[in-house]
Amino acid sequence: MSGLVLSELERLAALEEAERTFPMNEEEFRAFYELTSRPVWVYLTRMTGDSRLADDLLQEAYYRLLRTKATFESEDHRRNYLYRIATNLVHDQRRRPRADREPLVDAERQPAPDSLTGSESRAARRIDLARAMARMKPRERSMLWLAYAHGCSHEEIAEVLGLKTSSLKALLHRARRRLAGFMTPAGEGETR
Amino acid sequence: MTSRSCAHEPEIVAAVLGRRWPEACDASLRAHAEACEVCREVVEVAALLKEDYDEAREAVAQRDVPLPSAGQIWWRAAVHARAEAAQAATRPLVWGYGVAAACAVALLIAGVSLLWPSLLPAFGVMTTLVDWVSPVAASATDAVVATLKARLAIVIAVAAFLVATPVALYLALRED
Repeated sequence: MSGLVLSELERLAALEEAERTFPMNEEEFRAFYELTSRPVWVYLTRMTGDSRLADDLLQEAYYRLLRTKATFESEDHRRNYLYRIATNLVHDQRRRPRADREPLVDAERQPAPDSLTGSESRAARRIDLARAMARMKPRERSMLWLAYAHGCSHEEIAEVLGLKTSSLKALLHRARRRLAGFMTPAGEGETR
Repeated sequence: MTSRSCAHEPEIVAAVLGRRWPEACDASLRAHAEACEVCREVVEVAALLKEDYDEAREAVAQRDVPLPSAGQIWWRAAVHARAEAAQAATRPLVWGYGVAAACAVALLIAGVSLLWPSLLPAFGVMTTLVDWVSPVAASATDAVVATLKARLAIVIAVAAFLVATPVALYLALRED
């Protein structure tokens, strides 16, 4: 019983401390999380190819956002910063040597047998895309996803990836070409 | 050399992401995309990625394991932050122990070096023995003693620095 009271006190103390030290209050955080968590999770899943790993990285990304000392001019700025954290987490994860690293094509993306009967070509296209994305460099994957799935501007992508806006156009062009190349049957053998 | 970008690219991307491509789009934009290699490629890639994104967002809602709620994330972050703060609070103490141990060793060396001249007669017998056993060792000992005597001021300064360091570190790192 005393343990229960103590943990309750600790809980309250931790929450009070959080309200004091985190750069936003819980209400603001809830609103921001509702708005961003799904797109960020999808981004993490597509970048890592592992939905379970994306779950962990999602939590870590928000934790780092809450612990940051940075100040944000707008919600967009805060969102871009979150994507930057997420991107860095993905890159850190890839640098870490892991014997049990799973392939970049997520198991959850394999079409179920019944979905094949419904829209075979769409499912096949998605798998082709997953395979093609898996062959891209991590930075290219992030770039393409942010540009063409999220519709981020070049400035926003540069901010998220820590690149110069001036060089982004060329990098994006190259990445797009490579992806388009991998998506065509002729691009199957392409490695660079 | 092929062009790297096209001025219509943002328009095309916005149309694809806004599900306006191709039917609900301006005919001139469609005509341009058919003729422009860059825009054709943009349409192809953007349409694929948008479709994948939409499908993935739908899949999140249907997962067996839903995403953690905002409250859960907030709560875990609060607990994590508190644990980190507690760890940070004990860090100066750990540093203090380490520095104190280093100081103790340094003081011992300084003390021995200070008292060395008066200790020498007491070790006279031992020195003789050492001389007898190894003249090389004896000369090395003499060299160390001579060095310590010559640099006594430096030894004392180092000792004083090592004593002052933990105090300064503690004062600098303590939170309150």
